[in-house]
Formats: sequence, structure tokens, C-alpha cells
Amino acid sequence: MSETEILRYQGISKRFGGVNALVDVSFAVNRGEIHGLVGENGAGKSTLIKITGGIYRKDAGQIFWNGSPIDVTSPIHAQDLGISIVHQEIPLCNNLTIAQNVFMGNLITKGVTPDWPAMEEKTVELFRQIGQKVNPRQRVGELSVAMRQLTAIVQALRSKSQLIIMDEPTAALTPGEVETLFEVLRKLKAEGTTIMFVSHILSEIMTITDRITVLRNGRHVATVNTEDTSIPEIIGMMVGDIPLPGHKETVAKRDDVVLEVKNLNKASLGLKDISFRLYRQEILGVAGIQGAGRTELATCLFGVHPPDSGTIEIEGKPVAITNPRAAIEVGLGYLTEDRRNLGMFSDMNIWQNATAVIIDQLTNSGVLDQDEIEQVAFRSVKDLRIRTSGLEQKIRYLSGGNQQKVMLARWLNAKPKILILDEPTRGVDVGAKAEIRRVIQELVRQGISVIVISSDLEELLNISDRVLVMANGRIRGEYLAHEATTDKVMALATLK
Amino acid sequence: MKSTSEKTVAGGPAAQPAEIPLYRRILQRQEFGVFLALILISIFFSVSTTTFLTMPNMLNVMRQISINGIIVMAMTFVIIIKDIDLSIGSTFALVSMLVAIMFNTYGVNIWLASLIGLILGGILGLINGVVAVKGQLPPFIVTLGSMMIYRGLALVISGGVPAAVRLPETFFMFTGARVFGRIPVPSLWFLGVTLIAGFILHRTSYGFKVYAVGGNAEAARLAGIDVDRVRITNFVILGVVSGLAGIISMSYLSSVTPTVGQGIEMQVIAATVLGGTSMLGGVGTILGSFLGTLVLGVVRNGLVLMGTSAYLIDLITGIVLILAVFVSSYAHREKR
Repeated sequence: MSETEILRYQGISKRFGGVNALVDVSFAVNRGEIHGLVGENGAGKSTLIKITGGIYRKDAGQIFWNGSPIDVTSPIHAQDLGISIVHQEIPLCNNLTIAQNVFMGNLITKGVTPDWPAMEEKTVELFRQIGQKVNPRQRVGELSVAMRQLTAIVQALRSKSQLIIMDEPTAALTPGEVETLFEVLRKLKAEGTTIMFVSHILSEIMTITDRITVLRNGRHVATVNTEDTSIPEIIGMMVGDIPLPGHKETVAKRDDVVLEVKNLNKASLGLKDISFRLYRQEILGVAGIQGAGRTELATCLFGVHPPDSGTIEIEGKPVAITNPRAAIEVGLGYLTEDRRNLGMFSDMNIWQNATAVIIDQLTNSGVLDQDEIEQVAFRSVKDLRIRTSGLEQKIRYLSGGNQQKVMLARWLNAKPKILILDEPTRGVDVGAKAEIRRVIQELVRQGISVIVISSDLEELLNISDRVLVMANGRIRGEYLAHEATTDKVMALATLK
Repeated sequence: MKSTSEKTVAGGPAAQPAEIPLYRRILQRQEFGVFLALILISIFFSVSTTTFLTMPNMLNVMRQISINGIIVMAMTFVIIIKDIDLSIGSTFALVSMLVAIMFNTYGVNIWLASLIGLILGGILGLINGVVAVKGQLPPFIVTLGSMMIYRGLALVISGGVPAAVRLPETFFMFTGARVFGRIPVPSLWFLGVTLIAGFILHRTSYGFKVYAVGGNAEAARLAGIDVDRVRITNFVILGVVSGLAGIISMSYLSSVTPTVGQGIEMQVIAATVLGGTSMLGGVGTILGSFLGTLVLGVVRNGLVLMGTSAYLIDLITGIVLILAVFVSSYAHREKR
């Protein structure tokens, strides 16, 4: 056991029912390093983190913490040991202030009453340590995702954590916020805190980490020095041997306008004077930084928040879209960016999720036609290669990529003319990403026109025929995909 | 999670894997817990009393639970969709009072009066639904208010005086009597309503939408489901069914008091939850609610047969309720 190791996993295994989530995983994390943990969805990253944090118990193997074997029995135990996890969804009390959240569970008291001024002062001090200024009395509910994350980090600092595990911390951050987070992490590292950094975004992993551990199908593939490796090599280790899709040829018909939006305004969403066209069988990308109004535009078009003014024409006919049902009737479909909260019926099964939009068409005067439903759902499972034990399986037991495929199936079954895909590949693994891109290309060949919103600019340029760039609720410009570069698009997207 | 136990469905039938044996599927059903409770409690009373396991007593239990049970079926829809209705006891009273007054004082044909009563029940439910859904107010508060309003109306139109109802023979035969060797007609209504509710919830697109809205209302809206309409319809159905229960109770008892049905909302909610319907929405079945109603009825009946003090019956029923919900939620908590 080396002095430099803070944490060592030795032969960790974990089974859920018949599923091997982790098999004989062994590697070590060095003191004061930023250690990247990567792998596809279902590779076992979350399970490993949860075992480390005392949320799950391991079935076999040994964890060494500072050289001595430990058995983490609960999240509180983990915290006592000095291990903190900053989860993807940050559990903070929105109704309390920053200081109250930071000191929750460990209040400083004067006699029997909490000493808020002291805690507020300490909170400011802790934030200063990571180079941030805050108002400790601000309510957490009013904070941006980035600030919530920093609050969680400060919580960890307050409890004197030696190891902070960050689970997909950048998923909901803007590029600027990511930069701030990285500065904070570098500061923490300089002060000797060890960080485990879990992310799907490999460019970030390459930027911030010292070493990288790759998991695949619950097994440890390799732990490598970041400077000795490259993104393609990491992807190779993550997926084994799935070929990445190349650039596709366009089938867009540039003389046939399917959707024309003119002077669309929606004050409450910050959308100003939006005009654009979508051609038949085109893949139109919408680029922009977080808060540029991309999702807002999608929800406005789909009738979730109908526009204040402006016109929408579909195949030359003006349409009034006042609610999602009306949008579906005129041939729109909308795959939401927030699968968990706005997409899935978690307690319902595959066929129920896949047929939700067209359920009224799969009945005989209101009575469900089980045969037809089964046919439709079965076709979806086959066409989209959804990995499931059967149509009756609950959707929440699927991996993220397969959940997303079911959501996609829901909209394909509705046979829309225009499909709006909002972050279709967010949070899904490399294999499923390729699959979803294949499906999008198949769709346009079948005659559907597609609008894709994505924060992954390279991917967006790769799959789109044309890209609109949004900033501050306006469309700032457009590029044909082969003319566009990430630099050009980012320049427009960050224009004030 | 990827593993060898997970297979890609390609070719071959994709529905429920047939290899799971029947007993395993029964064990895995969420109603199994409440079913087991029913069996154990029944065995206990069969052993500890001589009268429990007799045909007359079984029929008696069926009669006792039928009035609440009818309402439980509609309440199941409302709770699955994450709403609640506290006004059912008052609707129950107001409808039966109105029918009694129409029949007694104005000589309206009892069938017509009952039809009007059912429509009134629907309107009372519609008011609950529209105010709560379109007004975007919590159904708990809205129906707490309407519980008092509807009860107040029942007291006003009756002048606070109970009414005896002398019903025509045919009407009584169809609602309150005992037929075919002493089978109480209310229990047949209960079974009928249960079957219809089960069909609607589990076999129609309406039932599908109830689960979808209860599971994730925002996702349902984005999937083009008219969330408001489904929720309001649920309240209307519950109103009609509460009125139906009121009329059947009036017929069986041959009388109505304006204070009838007080507190039944709690018994109805208890039976629904006992049957596995989640107050968090999206989860619940008619079979579960049926069994939940039976458990509560059997406990009450058995305790009476054992000569338990009336003061203790509520106390013990409450303990059984919490224990049963605890056991069933413990059994279904996700295994980590």
C-alpha cells in the first residue's frame, strides 16, 4: 500500500438481481489528484460511486481508505470518513439560504439557538477559499445550477472532506460556468483535496484530470495518465469496437418549405423576432449556449407556451398552436431535453411509454386494442434496437440510452411531419449516441423534417444540414453545415 | 445495466416473458400483501369466533362494505391521478336527501328522482373538479371547502330533520333488498361497480391516461393528453358514484339523515391506500382497492363478533391500516 494512495478498490463486485453491475474492479486514487472516471451508461460508474458513498453495499472486495480497510455503511459514515459526493441532482433545500444549507446537519449554536451570523461569516469564508463571492442569505431556490453545485462543494469543504466525488457536474453548465468550476477544482487540488470526476464529456476529462479510469460493462479496463492518452483511445477503451458514424449525405429538398416561422415573439421566454424556414427532409441544427433560448423556442413552437405574436405556417398553411395537443394534430413532435421530468412515465412499462401519444388510435371505441398495441410497441423495440427484457418492463429499469430510444419511439409512432429533438443524445452513452444519430438519418430519408437542438456543437455540425445560431432569444445567423466550424458558430453564439 | 440476463428483443414474441411461473407472478403482484393480510385476518377471526366463517355473516360483511366500496372504486381513479376528494360524504348526504325530498314532498317518481340525484352528484363533482383544476387550487382545500358547503346544503334543504322513505317495492328490489337466498342487493351493486371500474381503469385509453397523468402530468401534457379534462372527469365520476352510494344506502335503510356519511371519506381513502394505491400518484389497481375494502370490512366485522368494545374498534382499525401499509410498502421498497 503506497503512501500516495488515498483510496484503493480491491476486487469490488456488486450484483443487482441477475445483473452484474460491478465485477472485480480494482484501482487506486492518489492523494491530491483529479481522477477521471469514464464509461458508457451502465458501465458501473454510478454503482461504484454509490458504494464509495455508502448508498449501496458491495457484495465482495475491499475498499482501503488511507491505507486501512473500511466498510462504508451509510452516507453519514462516508461523510465522517471524509468522503463527499456532489450528485448530478444536487439535494439542497430550496427554501433555505446558502448558509443554512452549508451548515445543515452541523449547526453552530450559541447556547440552544443557532448562531446564524457566525455561520454566514464562515460560509463567505469558505466560498472565498474557492475564489467565489456570495450572499450567504440568498435562498438556494434562486440560484443557478452552477451556484448550487458550488454550494454543494462548499458543504463538502465545511465537513472537511478529503475526497470529493463529482458526478456529471458539467451536464447543466454553460461553458463559462464550466471554466469557473474547473478553476475551483484546481484550487481544491492545490490545497490537497482529492477529486474524482465523472463525466460523459471526454474533452473535459482530458482538460481537468491527472489520471483516468475507464470502466466497461462493470469491469475495470484501464487506469491511465491523462497526458499519455487521447480521446479516441479513451473511446476505444469505453466501447470496445463500435464504429463511429461518419458524415452523412443530405437528402434535404431546398425548394419545399415544410415549416415557416415569421416574427415570433414570446416575452416571458425571452424570444424576440424569430424567423426561419425548415425544408422537407432537412436536419436543421439549433446551436447556442445555455440560456440562448433554444429549448424555449422548441416549447413555444410546440404550444407548451404559445407565442405572443408571429405566425407559424406548416406546408404553407398558417396554424394556431395553443397547446401540445394542437401541435401534435398539425404534425409536430417534440422530444424533450428533460427525459426524467417531462418525458418518461417512470412507473409505466415500455409499451405504455411508447404508445402514449397515439393511445386513442389504438382502441376500439375507447377499449385498448392489446394486439395492435403490442405490434406497434414491438416494432419500435425492433427498429430502434431497444435493449429490454420485454414490453412489460418498466422504463425506469432501462439504461439512459434505451430510455431515450423509447422516448424517440413514442414520437416516431405519432408519425409527425416535423420532429423537434431537444438534446437527443444528452446523457446517453457512445453506442446509443451512434444509434440515435442513425435513426435521425433514417427519419429524414423517410420524409420527416427534423430540428435538432444540441449543446454538443461538434455533433450538431456533424449531423445537421444547416445550423441556426441563437443568442439572447434571437436568431443571430445561420450556416450550411459544411461551411460552419465550431469557432464560427461560437463566435455568433456568444455575441452580445 | 448491461448484462447477459438482458436480451435484445428481436424476432419472437416480446410480451410478458412466459417462463415466469404463475405462483411467482402472483407473489410479485403488488396486491399480494393486502391479499395475504386478508387471509391471515380471516383465519384469525375464523378461529377466535364461531360466527365469522358462516354464510350469513359473509353476506353481512359484503353488505356492510358495499356502500363504502362503491365509492372506493371511483376514489381509486382520483388518488392514482394524485388528486383527493374529501367531499364525498357530503355529496352522499346531499344527493340522498334531495332524492328523499323529491320523492316524499313533491311526489316525483323515485326512478326519475334517482336519476336527477345522480346528475346532481355529477354536478357536485364537476364543481370540485373545475374549481380545483381550472382554478389551479389544491384539491384537498377545495374539497375540504365543498365538504362543508354540500353538508350545509343537505342540512338546509332538510331543515336538519331526518326523512323516512317508504319506497315502491320494485325500486327497493333493485337497490336495497336481499335477493336469491338473502344476497344483499347493495353488494351486487358493489361487485358491478368494481367490474366496471376495473374495465375502465385497466382496459381503456381513459384508464391509461389516468395512470399517465398520475405518473407525470407534465409529460402527459407534452404527449398530447388533455390533463385537465381527465382530472375533471375523475371528479365527475366520483360525484356520480357517491350519489349512487347515497341512494342505495337510503333505500337499504329506508331513511336519510342530513348527517349521514360523515367521515366516510376517511374510510374510503383508507381502503384505497390499503389496497396499494399510492398517494404519490401513478400506482394502484382496482383489485387492490377491492381487497383493501374487504380487509377494513372484515376487521370491523370480526372485532364486533368478538365483542370488542365499540371504543376500541376504531383504534384497532387504525393500527391495522398503518401496519398493512407499512408491510406492503416495505415489501415493495426497491432493494438496494
